[in-house]
Amino acid sequence: MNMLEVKHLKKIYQSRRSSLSIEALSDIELEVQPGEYVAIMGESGSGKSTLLNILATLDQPTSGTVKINGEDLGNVTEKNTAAFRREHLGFVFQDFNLLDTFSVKDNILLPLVLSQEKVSEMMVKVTAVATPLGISDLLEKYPYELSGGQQQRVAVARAIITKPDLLLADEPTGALDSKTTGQLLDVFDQINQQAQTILMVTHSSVTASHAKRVLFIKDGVVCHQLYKGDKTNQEFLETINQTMTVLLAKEG
Amino acid sequence: MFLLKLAAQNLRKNNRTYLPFYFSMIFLVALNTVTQLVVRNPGMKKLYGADEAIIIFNLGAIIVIIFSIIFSIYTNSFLLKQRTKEFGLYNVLGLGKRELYRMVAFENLLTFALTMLGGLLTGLVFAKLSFLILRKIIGATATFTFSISGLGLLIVIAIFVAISLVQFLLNAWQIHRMNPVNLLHSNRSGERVPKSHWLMTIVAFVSLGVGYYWAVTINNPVEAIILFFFAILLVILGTYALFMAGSVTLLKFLKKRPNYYYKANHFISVSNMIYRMKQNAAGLASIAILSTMVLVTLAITISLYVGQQDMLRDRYPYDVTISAAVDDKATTKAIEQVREKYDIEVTNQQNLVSTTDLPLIHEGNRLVSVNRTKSRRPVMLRLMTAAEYERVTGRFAKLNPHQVITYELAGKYDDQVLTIGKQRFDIKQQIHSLPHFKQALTPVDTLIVVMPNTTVLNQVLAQNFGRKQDAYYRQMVKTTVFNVATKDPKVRTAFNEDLKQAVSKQTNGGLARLDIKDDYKKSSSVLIGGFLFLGLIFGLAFILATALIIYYKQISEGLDDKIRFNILQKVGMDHDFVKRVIHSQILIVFFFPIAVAAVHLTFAFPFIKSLLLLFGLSNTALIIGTTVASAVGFMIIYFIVYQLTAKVYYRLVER
Ligand SMILES: Nc1ncnc2c1ncn2[C@@H]1O[C@H](COP(=O)(O)OP(=O)(O)O)[C@@H](O)[C@H]1O
Ligand SMILES: [Mg+2]
Repeated sequence: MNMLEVKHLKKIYQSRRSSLSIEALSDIELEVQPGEYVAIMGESGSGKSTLLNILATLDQPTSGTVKINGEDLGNVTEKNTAAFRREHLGFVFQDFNLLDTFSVKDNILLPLVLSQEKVSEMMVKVTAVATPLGISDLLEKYPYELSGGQQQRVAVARAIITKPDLLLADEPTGALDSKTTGQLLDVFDQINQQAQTILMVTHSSVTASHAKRVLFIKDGVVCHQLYKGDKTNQEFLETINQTMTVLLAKEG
Repeated sequence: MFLLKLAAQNLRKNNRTYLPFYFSMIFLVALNTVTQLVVRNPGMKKLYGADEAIIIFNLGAIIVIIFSIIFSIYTNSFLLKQRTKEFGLYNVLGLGKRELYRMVAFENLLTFALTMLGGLLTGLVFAKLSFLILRKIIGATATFTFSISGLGLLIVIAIFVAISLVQFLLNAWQIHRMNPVNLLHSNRSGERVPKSHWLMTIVAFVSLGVGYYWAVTINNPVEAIILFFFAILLVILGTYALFMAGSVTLLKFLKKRPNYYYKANHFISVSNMIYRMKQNAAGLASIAILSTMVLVTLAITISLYVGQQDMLRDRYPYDVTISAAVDDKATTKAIEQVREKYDIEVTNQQNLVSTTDLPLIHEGNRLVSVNRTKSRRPVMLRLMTAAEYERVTGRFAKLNPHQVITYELAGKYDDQVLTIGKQRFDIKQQIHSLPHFKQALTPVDTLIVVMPNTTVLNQVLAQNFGRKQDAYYRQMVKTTVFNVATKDPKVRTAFNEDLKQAVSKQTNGGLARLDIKDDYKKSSSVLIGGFLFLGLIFGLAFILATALIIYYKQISEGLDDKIRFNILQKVGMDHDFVKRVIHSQILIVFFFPIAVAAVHLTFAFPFIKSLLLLFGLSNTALIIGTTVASAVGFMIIYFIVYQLTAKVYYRLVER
């Protein structure tokens, strides 16, 4: 069974003031198998965040269906989306979205506290995720005391502590420099090896080159896809760049 | 001039942030203007018990000033927080710090001019309107008419010149220590989770404790006004420290309990509140203090108003009281004539012969007449003979020549012996009631002493008031009281007027005195009406201030929390839960200051009680009743204000 199945997804933003409407997504088709690591690439404004927000149940599509683990998101009532997010999804955002009011540890624990887990289990889990991410020394610090890369690793820890079916990431490296980008992507590789399904959107080909499959989104549809196969990151990066040049050239 | 233009433009462009600031500054100026006009109103001096009233209102005015200083610094810091980034941007774009200082100086100058103009006008109009309403309420003979006090206005201007200067210095300091690169990066990174300050927590409890202790143990707040003022200052200081440090310490304590802390609603509330306490402690403490002031003011003035009948009955058990020298036949006769003329039925007529109030002072364990030494603790004695006592009470005195019976009319005298000058008497009995005389708390202790016989009484007078100029004190006075049966106000007024005329014509020796209950009633209702009115102006102003702070808080928190709750929703917190957390947070924030105010009020109760005793109101049940009623009434108003502003908050937080 597919982990994620998207059919004929359309999203139209209706401006409240004018009759102007923007079609951010026209007809998206997408399938993701369990354990896959998929990147969606596209230029700025191509609708990547829109797609991700719909998958994340943070936004509703204009038409089309999204199924996660066989469950149609259209059937999840508004009231239950929060619980659904907590149980099935994990997120990493470009701007980290950590809460200044919480220490690193409490930020990571947030989803577990919301799910009302036992305190003793929480503490076990937090150590279990923090150690491989290399943030176990930072647990008592506050987000404003950390570098961008550290903050993003905390955000990843928060996203995977619930063992989500699907990890969603929107430009996870967008606010990081090249060194910390590399470190974060290593983290993603590592958790993917432990069977974590990952779907991320990015405009950076370097970031995308770490994925096993790359989809290109343009004019509101998925227009192309590449499999990594046995390529190294470097080789895959070149393929991606070539593809992008072709896709851009088509336009001209 | 470029910088001036920039300053003016800043004020215009930052409407959303500046408007509440202007509004509150104008409000503070207006509040001070009103209190100064009230305190310096010439009518104040005509009040019965004017001295006490003036002292109390002055105290109120000083607290308003202190509050204004704290609150204006608070609103300024709120503004500053939002503008720091803007300063950084200007700095990066090429305005040097020196130019920034000047720009801020212009801004402060413009703000000062605008708020002063607006505030003085608002204050004057508000005061004028209030006095007009006052006249309507208590009739044409109002003691209070609107009048502008030059000194009062000058004081207001001086206060706000000082406040503006402080604000400017704070702004300049902020510019001085700013690092533009950090500022541009993020406007939130500067906010740190506050540390718990044990020292400050201890300061909070110590100053609250000492303040409370003084407030409770001071018997006569007007006499010990300086000490009492310090008690108030300590409580204010303690309240601010409590909110700033005490609350954080408590929250951190809760945070250390995993089984409490890691429950979803506690988790979010506790950490939010810790973080928030730093910026909002001042606001919450201000609410607590203002609420206390509203409550104390309302409790005092409403008690006075409600207790009017009580006070009248206590002070004037009879319609007419006439005192005249025993041998003053002329006065007696003149009064007789008036009574015959009106043919009014008189009931409950009684009379009593005693000395005048004899002024004495404590010296060691003796009482001596005033002229001998410098006046220290004064005591008034009123002597009467055992025979007279037996006549009016119908009780048998049975006193030997060295025994007396005493009655504490005001204050305490619970010694076994009473030594007047050289004569020592054993107090055989203390009585607790006597016709004509009602116990009341006046600033001077007063003791009625029943002497064994006329000889002893005269001996005391001769030994202590034997000098020529003391002739006045050696006279015996006959006090006559009666009620007038008719209820017709016209007849009563005419009768009272004639009585007064008759007595004033006959006056000899300055002893004849006439006290008419109706007259007192009239003047006291004017006084108390005025007092209630002033109290209501104060109360209203404080309630407005409270509402303003709550509004401020909700807006500032709403903007912050919007981001926070957004993240929480992304991480999987559902809408209902967000609502519940917001609700419980609002409730705690609502409840905390009012709970502290209630505790303050409890400790202020002895003060309220002894103050009202000075005005002749001794009905404790009534005072408790009105105090509780004012508290409940205020809580309802507070709750309504909170509900209204909470709506604004919800709208901000929920997109
Ligand atoms: N809330 C919104 N209202 C209206 N238009 C929006 C909204 N969010 C995004 N858009 C528009 O939809 C398009 C896709 O945006 P987005 O998904 O953010 O792109 P990307 O993440 O690929 O840069 C853009 O043209 C953007 O202007
Ligand atoms: Mg985007």
